[in-house]
Amino acid sequence: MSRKHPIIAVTGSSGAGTSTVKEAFEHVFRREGTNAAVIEGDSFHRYNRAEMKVAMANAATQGNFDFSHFGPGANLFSEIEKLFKTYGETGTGRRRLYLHNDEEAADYEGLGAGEFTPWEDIPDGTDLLFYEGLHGGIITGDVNAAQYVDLKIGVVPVINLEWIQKIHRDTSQRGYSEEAVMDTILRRMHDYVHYIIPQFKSSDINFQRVPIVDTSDPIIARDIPTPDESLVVIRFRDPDDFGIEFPYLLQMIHNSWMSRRNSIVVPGGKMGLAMELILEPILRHMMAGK
Amino acid sequence: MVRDAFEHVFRRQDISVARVEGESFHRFSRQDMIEEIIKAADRGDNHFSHFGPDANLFKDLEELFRSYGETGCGRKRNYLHNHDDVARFGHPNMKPGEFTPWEDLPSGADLLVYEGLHGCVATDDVNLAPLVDLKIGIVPVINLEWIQKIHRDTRQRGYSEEAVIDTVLRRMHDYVHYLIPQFARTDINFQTVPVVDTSDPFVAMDVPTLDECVVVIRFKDPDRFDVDFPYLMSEIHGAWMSRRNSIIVPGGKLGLAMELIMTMTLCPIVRASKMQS
Repeated sequence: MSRKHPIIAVTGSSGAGTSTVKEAFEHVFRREGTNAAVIEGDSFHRYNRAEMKVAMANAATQGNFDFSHFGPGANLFSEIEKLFKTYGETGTGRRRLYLHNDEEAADYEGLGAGEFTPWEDIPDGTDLLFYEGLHGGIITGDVNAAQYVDLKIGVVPVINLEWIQKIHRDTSQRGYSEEAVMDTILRRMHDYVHYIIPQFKSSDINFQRVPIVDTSDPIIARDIPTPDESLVVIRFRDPDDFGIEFPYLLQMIHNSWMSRRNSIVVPGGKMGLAMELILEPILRHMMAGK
Repeated sequence: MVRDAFEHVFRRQDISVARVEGESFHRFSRQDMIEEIIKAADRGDNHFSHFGPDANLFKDLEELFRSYGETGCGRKRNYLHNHDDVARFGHPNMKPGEFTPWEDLPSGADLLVYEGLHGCVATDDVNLAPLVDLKIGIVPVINLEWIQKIHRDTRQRGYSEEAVIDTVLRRMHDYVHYLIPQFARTDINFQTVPVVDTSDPFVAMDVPTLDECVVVIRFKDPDRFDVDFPYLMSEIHGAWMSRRNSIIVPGGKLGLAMELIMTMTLCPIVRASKMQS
């Protein structure tokens, strides 16, 4: 935790709504003139795309069918912890980029899609560190990155919804068979339960998108629920920590309601608005405390 | 909840039913099942569970549905969950976890009601859905199902949390391959959706109350049952439509919604059957 060099971590898988959170933060950063050092979770994978395939094949020959991007075998958890610790103390630290596609790789001679750029120092003078990925609150036997984060945000779909989205994306856009996608989901389930899910219990704020259409068979329900077909549950671990005023939120967000003393439910289409209303005062407070 | 709603409708409409519980079609008694799980683990199969074909008599269940549909007869037995069941079914020398002997269904029932995990199961060898006239799916979202299981198994049955997580993961393969696909074959699905944070089901120990949920009710083909959505919305306070075939009702209204829908869908089926006989 660092008043001088604060860290914000958004934890959640892509498709869960992390991009909506990221956009909300970008709007707030721009309006507030905040200079954020952005860290993407992918850049702390242990292996590049080609190496990962080999590592998975090796794990399978050793009888380990649970090897996945969710767990410690495939990620540099201690490097994430080190970065958070160093940044909190000094305002800098080491980062690199994961090149998702050819377009991103075009700027880097000799590197291709699925590879990492070399490690480099975060430039001086950033206002805060903004992590977005799967492991912003990771705690294992050896590593505790969560302790260095000043604002922990979880973006969590219910599991059925996450499956629909993954199946939809992988079969329609990436050409995988349904059976192959299902195998991947099951293969990753062990790490998902042991490393991803436990992070959400220590989040300061969780955003959970809840579909209100039938998702009982996510493998058949191919239509991804639209924002209008979902609700968002927003839970504050301790509303007092951030001076959250529920009456204000209820007034500003049409058709929102409280479901528990620390939880507000908003219509899916209002997720962006809710995020900006909630995050802006928190960020302002954070910057004023520096 | 489903059972209660059905009971009310049966009583009011004077419908007599033959009841079959899914657990009575387990292949193994409780004691045998423990041994089978160990045997499976010894041969490297860590997915052996009550969800899959090896632990259930799918063929016999199919045969029951077929013969009841054709003749109104068939074989059933009871699974003895506990000492109350042992006394209730009159088998004082049997133990909880065992099955009563097979027996013929009572004659003269208006319909057969199956309640269990496999009412629409399909494998390479069996296919139950075509034999069923009204298929109802009761599906909590997975997070909620996990919360409920963990809550029950740790608080009431004394298992450790780690042991329950292991069970959930062990059964996941069969869950995905045998249970979930059934809900694409059902006529009506009731899905309870919590509107409180369930992001870590292994921690959210407070099971969401009905008031903290909404229920999604989806009709595969609303025309088949002449589903009158405006009527349902006027009868159920706070209900609204989320898709052309789906209605949302507040959790506390689940019982009311079920009774209205059951009356709407069951009565034509029973009428048609009584006219035939």
